[in-house]
Amino acid sequence: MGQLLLGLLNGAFYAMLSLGLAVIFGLLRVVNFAHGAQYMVGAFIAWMLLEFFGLSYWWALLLAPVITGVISIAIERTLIAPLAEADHLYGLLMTFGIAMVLQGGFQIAFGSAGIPYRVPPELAGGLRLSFMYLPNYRLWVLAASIAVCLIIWLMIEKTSLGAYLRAATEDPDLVGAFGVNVALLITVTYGLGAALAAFAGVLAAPIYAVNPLMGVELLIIAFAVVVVGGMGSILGAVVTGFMLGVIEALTKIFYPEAASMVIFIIMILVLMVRPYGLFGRQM
Amino acid sequence: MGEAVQRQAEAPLLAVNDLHAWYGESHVLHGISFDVSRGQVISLTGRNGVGKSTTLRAIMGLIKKRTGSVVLEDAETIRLKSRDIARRGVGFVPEHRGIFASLSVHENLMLPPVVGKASLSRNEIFQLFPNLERRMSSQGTRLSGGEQQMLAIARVLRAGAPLVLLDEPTEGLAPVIIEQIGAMLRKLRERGYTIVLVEQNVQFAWSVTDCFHVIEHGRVVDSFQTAGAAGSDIGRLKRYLGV
Ligand SMILES: Nc1ncnc2c1ncn2[C@@H]1O[C@H](COP(=O)(O)OP(=O)(O)OP(=O)(O)O)[C@@H](O)[C@H]1O
Ligand SMILES: [Mg+2]
Repeated sequence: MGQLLLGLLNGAFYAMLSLGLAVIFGLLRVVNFAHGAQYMVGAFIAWMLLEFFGLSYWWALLLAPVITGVISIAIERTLIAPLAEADHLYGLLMTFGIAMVLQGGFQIAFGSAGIPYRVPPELAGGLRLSFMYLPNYRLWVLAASIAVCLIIWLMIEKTSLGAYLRAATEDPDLVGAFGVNVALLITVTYGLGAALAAFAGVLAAPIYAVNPLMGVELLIIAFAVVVVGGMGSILGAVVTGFMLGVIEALTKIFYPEAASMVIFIIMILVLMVRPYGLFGRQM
Repeated sequence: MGEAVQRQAEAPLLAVNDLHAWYGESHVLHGISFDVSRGQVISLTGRNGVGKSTTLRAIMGLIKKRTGSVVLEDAETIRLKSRDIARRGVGFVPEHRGIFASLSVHENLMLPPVVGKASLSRNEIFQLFPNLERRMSSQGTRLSGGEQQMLAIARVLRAGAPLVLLDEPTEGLAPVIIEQIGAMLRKLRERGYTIVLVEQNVQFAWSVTDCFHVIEHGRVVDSFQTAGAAGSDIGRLKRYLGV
């Protein structure tokens, strides 16, 4: 039961990161390898805001996504957009390079040891349940991630920005031929995706220490989630994120040695049986 | 002076001159030329694979490698991006209709930003396309082929483009539906729309078209006016198409 909750919690992170990755992939056809680094940058900005400006966790939750989003928009404009006409492999390599430089830069500046970030006092303490001790902060993270996933999903499904995004995911040229500025749409989406990653990074800061490499493993898992859910499928990313978080946690109970690879075993199985993923359509 | 005014009035809305287009290394259009006056309906016709769709896509700026001249209301557009061409008042109904599966009928209809004064209101749209009204919340691709075609046309009319490029609207549709689309095109012509139609169904196109251009191997090889045409002209046209 306790493991199940922890699984849901991890799943929430997987879902949030995979969601951004899936939306960006759908629109750009580029796997954004910088996503994990953007998550890490979000956590670092939270720490810096506290350390240098005395701004609390709550400010960080607001500001870190904005700052990361703006930086990422600049990166998209200058480094990724110029490759739009080339094979998507080049875009992927570019985001990989960006991730490496960001991680390397933060390692030089802050070292590889984790920097602790305190749980905000409002969320200190926890619930003593019969089967486990549940920190309040973890409950908050779970609730916040579910809320964010829901908001993003509504934005994509119900707003006109979302309609442009869905249409441009299907056929960007035709959307452009209707007079829509698809390049701008891509830039905005990339920025929002990065902001989402940074938001997750701030949520993660008090749980896992702030560390330049904190996004690496998570990105690989998020990538597996996107593949299992179906490349570019938004619903697929969210549902699969939570599902794999839970499956991973249950594996920890029954066969702990396999916990770290069970997600990838599932990915391989899905690729064999349903190459387009559980929720994916053939593209 | 009188002659200058006359010329002005006759200046074509769209003038395509020596248009070439390539897909990678493959040279598909070899110098297409034709004019369309304001309010005119013209048809581009020809056998499969001669470059009809490519012509529309090149005018629309959707073919990266293209040369020649496409003048729209006295402005050269050959170097413009496709979104800027659209914003100058060109509506595009692509081959296979281009209805988005992940959008509802309503979202499909509202997707293109308004680009011209000719923009139709919801009521006008429903008058022209009564079938669409009760399907607004359906998924776009759940509509029948005919309804999807109506939606694709309604979509550009709502955006208000006075010039509409229409690629094979009758493709794969039943004769009754083709009849409806013909009636709808005649209404649009009465309202003063300028239309470039790509059509292999000459029978259908004849009644709505002012002028045919026959394309072979990426060139216009023959042209016909429908006004005052003799039966032998239709025969000649059909021979080009091998029907
Ligand atoms: N995306 C593409 N890449 C490479 N070649 C293409 C592409 N699209 C079309 N072609 C080629 O360009 C030529 C012209 O194609 P186009 O689609 O313009 O013909 P069409 O006259 O519209 O034919 P149809 O009546 O079958 O629609 C054809 O030989 C076709 O094979
Ligand atoms: Mg064609």
